[in-house]
Amino acid sequence: MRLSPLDHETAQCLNGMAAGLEEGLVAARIFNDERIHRAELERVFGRAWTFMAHESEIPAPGDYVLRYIGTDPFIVVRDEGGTVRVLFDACRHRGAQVCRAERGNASHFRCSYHGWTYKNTGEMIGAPSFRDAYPNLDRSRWGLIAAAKVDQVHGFIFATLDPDAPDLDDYLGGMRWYLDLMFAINRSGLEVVGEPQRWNMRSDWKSGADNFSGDDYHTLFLHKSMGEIGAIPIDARANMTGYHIQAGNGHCLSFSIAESAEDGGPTFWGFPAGIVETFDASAVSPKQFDIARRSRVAVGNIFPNLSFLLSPLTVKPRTVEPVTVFTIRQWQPRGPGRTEAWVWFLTWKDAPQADRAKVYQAGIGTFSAGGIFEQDDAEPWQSIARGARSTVARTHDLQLNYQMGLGASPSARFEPEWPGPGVAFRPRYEEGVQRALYRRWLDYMESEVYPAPRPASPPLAAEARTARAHA
Amino acid sequence: MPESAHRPVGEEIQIGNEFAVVRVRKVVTRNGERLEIIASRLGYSILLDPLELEALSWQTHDSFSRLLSSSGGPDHDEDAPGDRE
Repeated sequence: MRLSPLDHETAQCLNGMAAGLEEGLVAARIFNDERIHRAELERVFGRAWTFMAHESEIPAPGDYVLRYIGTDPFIVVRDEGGTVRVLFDACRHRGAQVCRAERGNASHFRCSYHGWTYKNTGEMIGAPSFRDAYPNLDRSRWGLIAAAKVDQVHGFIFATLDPDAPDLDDYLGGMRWYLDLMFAINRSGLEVVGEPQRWNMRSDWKSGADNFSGDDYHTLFLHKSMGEIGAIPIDARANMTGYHIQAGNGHCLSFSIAESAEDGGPTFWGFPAGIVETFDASAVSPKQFDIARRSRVAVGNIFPNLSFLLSPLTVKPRTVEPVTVFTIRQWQPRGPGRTEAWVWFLTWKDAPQADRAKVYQAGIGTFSAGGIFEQDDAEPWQSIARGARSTVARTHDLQLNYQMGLGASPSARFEPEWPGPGVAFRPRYEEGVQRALYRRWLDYMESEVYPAPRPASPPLAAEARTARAHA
Repeated sequence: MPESAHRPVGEEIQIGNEFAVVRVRKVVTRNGERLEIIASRLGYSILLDPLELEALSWQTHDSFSRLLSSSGGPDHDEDAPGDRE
């Protein structure tokens, strides 16, 4: 990996933000800036593990989809032997794009420019008039460039371009425990329904990651009308009870969990009884299964840009019962102040066909390009990016407030007895999750070598209190 | 690989003579399509994509003569230049 050096102004901005973040301040500028964007492509997306596809999108040998790491196109293909490959989509001859369809099935890829041809392992195997044109070419040196590491968890395929990156399990750290409790409880596994939805926004990718790291607070106001019409079957203020989790390495989650079982409301994210019957307590630990059972809603973000949501929702509250919308979404950078949202809907492989249709409809109606929730979010996110490139943001070094949960009498308590990895706070009036996201972002942006792991750490005051209590 | 990764579509055709019988059908995957050639008697089958089929079209019969140097399939001739993975 060869990183471009940071220019003076960018380095200064990051340095200032590192200090400000301890007080809950985030520089507005980072949400729309050419130099920050260029540095992110190399330092964040060029090094972090990023989501490529779900294995159910490429079930057969030769099935491929075209996906992106940052803004670079990659072919994600299952080769004839069944191994998933992540190959940079540029011919080694002149650099022309080899696969131009968004998806397909091929045992070999042939570049449209001069016809250089590759096996779906990436191996270069030939070209037109090969013996005349290339009597000396060593084909073994001219295969498609492969991602440095590829791995999967619960069928979610991730890749990193940095050979110095830790293994995926180490990268996920404490997040793995939470992914297991959400994605391993049904042994048939997960499957993507249909094709991913995609749309462009004039916003920064971090606004999506920030929101899904645990911005439950905005649901009280921006999505107020969703509660009023009954699109979500949980009272908006009651829904703030639950936990914010910093799982380490910048990965964050938020669980809506009732104070006690007597409070009623959905369990297992509102999955219907028929689906809940398929959940296998022995697939996870009792502590994990208990959190799954108590969860009304879960959101989270795997650093840097893969978010997920599990929530009971309906677009026709009077006539259609809420169903569990199960979605993952990736906020892909497309330039300074530009994002392409990719949204997938998931179901359990053994879910009845009728349930799939319902889940898809509920998902499309709520969290998609035309979804009633998603449309709410795009507007403020776009205005954040407009404000971020404003004159005021530059000349006054505009700082944004991420202070919720800090201070002498914090709005959320540190939970030393939380059974899972990372650190937890309750209730969900708290922005430590977003601060953890930006702290990890700064690690990647500032470090010239692969950033050291950053385990979640309890707040200093809380640490002292716990130490006193145990003394 | 799940069974359902390949789904046959359309009509299967059979082509045979006194020496061999093969079945040929189109199958679709989630993201594309292939031609499946099944030699039931020998127990072999292959899924060929359009580029591979195109490559067949410019072979000469001599190319196939070379492929047939192991005329019962690779299982029947350990020295044959079979290239099965």
